[in-house]
Amino acid sequence: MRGSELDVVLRNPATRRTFLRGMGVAGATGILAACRKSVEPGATGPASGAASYAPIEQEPGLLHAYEWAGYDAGWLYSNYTKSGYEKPKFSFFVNTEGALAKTAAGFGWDTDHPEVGYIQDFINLDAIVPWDTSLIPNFARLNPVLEKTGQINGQQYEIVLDWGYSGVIIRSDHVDPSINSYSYLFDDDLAGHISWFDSNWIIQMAAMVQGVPGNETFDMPPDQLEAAKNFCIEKGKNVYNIWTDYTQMWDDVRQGNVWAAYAWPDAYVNLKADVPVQYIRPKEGVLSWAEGLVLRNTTQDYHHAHQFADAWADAGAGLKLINVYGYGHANLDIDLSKVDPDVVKVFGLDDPQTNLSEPASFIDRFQPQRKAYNRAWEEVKASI
Amino acid sequence: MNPAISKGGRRALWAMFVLLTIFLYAPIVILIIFSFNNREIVSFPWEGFTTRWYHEFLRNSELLNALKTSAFVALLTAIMTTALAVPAAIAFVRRRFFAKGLVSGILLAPLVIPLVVFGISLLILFNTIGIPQSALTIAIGHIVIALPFAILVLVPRIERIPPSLEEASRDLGAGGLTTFRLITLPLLFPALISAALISYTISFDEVVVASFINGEATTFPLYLYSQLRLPRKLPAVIAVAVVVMVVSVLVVVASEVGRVLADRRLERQTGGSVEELALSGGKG
Amino acid sequence: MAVEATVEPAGAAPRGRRPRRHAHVGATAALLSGPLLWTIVFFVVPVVLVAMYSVGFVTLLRDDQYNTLAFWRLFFSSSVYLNTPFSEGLFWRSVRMSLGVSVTCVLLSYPVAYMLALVAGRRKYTLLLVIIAPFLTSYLLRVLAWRVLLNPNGVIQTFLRDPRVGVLHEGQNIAWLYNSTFAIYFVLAYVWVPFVALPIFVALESLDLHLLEASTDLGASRWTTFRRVTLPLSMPGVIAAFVFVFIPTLGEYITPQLVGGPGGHMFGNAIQASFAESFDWQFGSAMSMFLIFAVAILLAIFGRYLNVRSVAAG
Repeated sequence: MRGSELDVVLRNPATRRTFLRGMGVAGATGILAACRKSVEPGATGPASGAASYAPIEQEPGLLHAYEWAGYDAGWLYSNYTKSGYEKPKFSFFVNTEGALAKTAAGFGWDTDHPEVGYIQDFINLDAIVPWDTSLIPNFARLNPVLEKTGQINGQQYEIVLDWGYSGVIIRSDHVDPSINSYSYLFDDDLAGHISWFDSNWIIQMAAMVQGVPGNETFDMPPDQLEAAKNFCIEKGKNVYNIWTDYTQMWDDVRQGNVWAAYAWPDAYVNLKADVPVQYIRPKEGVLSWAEGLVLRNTTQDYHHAHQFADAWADAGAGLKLINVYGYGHANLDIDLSKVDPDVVKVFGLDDPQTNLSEPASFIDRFQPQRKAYNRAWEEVKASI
Repeated sequence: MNPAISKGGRRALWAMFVLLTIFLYAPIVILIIFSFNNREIVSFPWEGFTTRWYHEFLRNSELLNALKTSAFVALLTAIMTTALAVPAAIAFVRRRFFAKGLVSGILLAPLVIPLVVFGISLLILFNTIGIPQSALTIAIGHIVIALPFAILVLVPRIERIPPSLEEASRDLGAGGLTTFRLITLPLLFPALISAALISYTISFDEVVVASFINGEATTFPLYLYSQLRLPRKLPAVIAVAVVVMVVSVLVVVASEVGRVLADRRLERQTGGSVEELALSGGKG
Repeated sequence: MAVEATVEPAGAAPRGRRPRRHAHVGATAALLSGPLLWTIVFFVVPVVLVAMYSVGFVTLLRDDQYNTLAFWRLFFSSSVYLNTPFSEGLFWRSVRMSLGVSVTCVLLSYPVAYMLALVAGRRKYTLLLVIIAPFLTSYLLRVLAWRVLLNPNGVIQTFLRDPRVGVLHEGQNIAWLYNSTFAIYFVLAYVWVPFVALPIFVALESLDLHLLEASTDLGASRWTTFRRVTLPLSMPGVIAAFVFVFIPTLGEYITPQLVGGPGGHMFGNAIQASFAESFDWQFGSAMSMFLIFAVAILLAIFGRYLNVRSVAAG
């Protein structure tokens, strides 16, 4: 950390990592090099090819899955546990930003479940390797259009499994459904009864309300970002809360504390029997997401992870997912007649192609200026 | 008349003390009561008495692992902190040295740093020099935090030990280390336990620093914190937290009682002759 | 045990002294080396690293900028973090929070400490333990207790909504009780009051009671005695208590996150978020350094009250 030669080395990510891993430390902290634990193998080895991984019998076997809350439910991967593998250990994140940050900070996991727009971020962190789809029998049954969104440079970095929308849920007894816009989330008439999710997509939604086409909101020029951010800050005073726990958001809508909330389809599925609600896919186009499993480059359970992904990709698991959450599942074999027809209709599950295409929907993608977006979102939260 | 307080004032202050004590303990007591409520949400109405939440946590392997990790980190913290705090406290009390203010400032500074800043500073440190994060890194941070507390517990105790005892021991020919081992250490023992216990408690409960440098390890506070932010069955988690809390209160109270008793014993002993103590010191 | 007779006639000091002093210095260094080294390596050095990282002398992540003041400039120019004092600005919001909590704690615990030190008599240490014990239990559990008590579906509000009590109607909430700034202040005061009692107790306990007697003998009323003798003499303890709460609370983020609602975002939350929820490590480092500078200034002003004696109770 001192000396210009060291600086040059440290600036270059590749040499810095080698330097730090291999050499330990210079200067005042040199003492600690002796205490440094050895680094996991395979971190800089070849990414693909099952040949470089131990066969499944030799793997430790306890998969560490970093997941969305609720995705530790056994039925999502029942084939995995039925095959005799140990139930995975789960850690949870609130949003993928947090998962990225934790990963950058050194958190170790075997599989994560990010939206496709974040795959590049994980690659930038040197954290993931592509899947070997030949090891996943169910992969052939998955929707190729969706799976394409999980590819970078032709390599399948993510097995895309579930998809859904980030729309608005409204209490139709308090809110006029015909407005049909993200403007619900910024509406002065609903002051004190609006709930946002903790995500910088709120800023994108604000931009869409201001007239920016949905596909452009993923990479806005600074002045547009600033304008959207200021709009959020201004309308932030209307917000009842910013939810991090979706079941708490459900409760707030159920009790009438909240009349309009940023919501995923699960809110509709879980509330429609209790209170009059409608799920809004706004006229500006709904921001949607496709997410799935990514594989950590330092995993010791390479084959177990593939088995896990295969269990997730199973049609039976997918059917239950649709019924419980109202999300879509990538497996084409799922018999939609077994799903509540209302749910199929409201979310267009029978035609993912159309419902996920622009301009009806803008599926998530890489935000080149993620840092600026996150900083703007932090400023919104700080100013409310 | 009592210059400090009047009769009416005395009643008023006692009343305030009682009210404050109730205020401090009531929420915990209410929580404990509701942990026996047969309801998944912690609220009214009361739906029957049950101990099922206390049974449920035994089935929660993640929770049990978190408890184990916390116990391990806390034990490590307690041992290392005490080992580091004893020489520091002795140096403060018995020695005059250059820049005492600066040294005490450095050693006590962790008392006042906002933990979020300390946490991220360790995150940056470990990332800079490439140490992977784990329960051990958590322990490292906890030792820094607990060290000032341990020193502060030990200093008054060392001050109570008359230097004449140690001088007598040296006059009788024992070297510094022997004096320490046979005279100072046994007399310090209760305070050592106090210091170790306070370090253990601080570490077991610490969540801020741990959240930044835990790697894959989960400590109990981290688990509790994640349950508060994400949907789960809260009463089972509360049940465990209550058990942990009751145990820690009992342990702290027991250690304080033990310390007070040992204090009285020291006072009785040092009231006796120095030679007697020096002779008996050989037998610990 | 062998007894060596060491005869040290007065005046023979110089001959035996010099080697003893070297031994003393060596011994002192040996005693301090462990703890000092540990604290320097794992406390001082990391803070220095944060400072260096915030200006890019060190880089860690792929996109980190090198050798730049951009993050500091961003911090100072943003209207969000500093802004006009005492009104806007996340930092000032945290300062207000710390002030409110510290003042409340001191006001609440002074009478109790007074009672324990000067009125309680023999049982004072036991009763002090009763007050302090909650502080040694789980911080999260105590915050959780209030979360469970205060939230609209929690113990208090469901109780008030119960038809037999009828204070609240069905579906009605007390909005300011939860997810509010009040909740943050309230819960933090609850958390810190036990801790604050200790330095005040120590200061009051070390008062020479003869001073109080002298004052009343000279004709002063008890209240005047308190105002002009006790209070000023206990001030160092009060200030120590105040500072002990104020400084760490500046960076507090857990309670604001759990009970504060949207308006409860504090400076500590912004720092935490920049590391745990986004990649803004260098910006977060700049914010952290700013907080450290603020703390350093406070310590420079009030540091003399924070000595070992003020918190080391017997």
